[in-house]
Amino acid sequence: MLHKKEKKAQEEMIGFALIIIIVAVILLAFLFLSSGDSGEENLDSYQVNSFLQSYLKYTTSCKDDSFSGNKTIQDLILDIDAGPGSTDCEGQSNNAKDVLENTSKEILNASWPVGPKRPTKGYKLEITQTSDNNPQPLIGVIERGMEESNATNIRGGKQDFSRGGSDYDITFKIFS
Amino acid sequence: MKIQQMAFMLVAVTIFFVLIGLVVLGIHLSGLEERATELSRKNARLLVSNLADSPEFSCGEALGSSRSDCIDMDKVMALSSKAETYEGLWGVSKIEVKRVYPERGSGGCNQGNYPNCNSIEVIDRLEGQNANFTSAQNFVSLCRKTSDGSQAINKCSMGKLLVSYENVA
Repeated sequence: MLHKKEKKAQEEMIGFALIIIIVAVILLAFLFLSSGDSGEENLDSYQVNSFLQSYLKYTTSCKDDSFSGNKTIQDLILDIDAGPGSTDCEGQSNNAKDVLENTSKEILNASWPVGPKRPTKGYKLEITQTSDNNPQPLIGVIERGMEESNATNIRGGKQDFSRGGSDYDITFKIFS
Repeated sequence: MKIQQMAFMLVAVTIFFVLIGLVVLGIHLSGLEERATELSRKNARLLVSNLADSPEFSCGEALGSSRSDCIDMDKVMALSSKAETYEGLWGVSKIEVKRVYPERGSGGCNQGNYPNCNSIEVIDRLEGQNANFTSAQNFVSLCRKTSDGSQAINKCSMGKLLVSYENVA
């Protein structure tokens, strides 16, 4: 009789232990799912793409003869093929390449302050022209903070457009 | 005796589940404030990435062909003077447009110094409050019509659009 009772108690304890294990597994699964995250980095990449859009539409001090107004950065990129003297820029060199390089540096410095204590550790801007499957840099690579940057997070964006059989690619990367 | 054992078992299981429920509820509630702030941050990012293309801000066809991330400064300046009408439209505490390059003058824009100024506060419900807030920003073209002496021309500078939400206390 006593033996039977002990066996019954044992069975109940096993049942109780089983319930505890099942509940613990459900609890762990719940915790795992609720702590799973959210793709914050993807949300941030819109800034790089918006920057490129705005950068290409920035109005320089160079006069546009064919249209009332001044040339945008995108117009200057297309002008580089025409060579020195092709642009008329107020108070600046009349070489589209020089104006593009200087203006781009100033825009980047103002838009993406770089420093060890800042969110942006470095950046890199490349503008290339591809004709007959042969990519050539239009201006020198503009980069800052790349040497000392131990950045692990890279966000990038690309804009391209075509004219006269040439493809133009603007690639921008941010290191943070 | 058997009924007693069963009753004891039922009470034990019930107490166990109640304890588990309390632990789960505790974990859930402890992250609630953080999640509300995170949600505000996400909302701010989503809004800031789309706000420039809304009719109240966008350049539309007024400055050449339609383009994204382009803000009509004249429109925003007019909007800022009617801030109280639009205050509830976006459900945010602050919307600000800042010129990044080239900088012109200093301080905020008003009817007296526009366009030689750097920032326009469209809505500012945080002003004067010691509020804890979440912000998000995005790059935009700040464009407006101007004159070169003989004709109207388009002029675009680099800018940022900033959106702020008040955090849940």
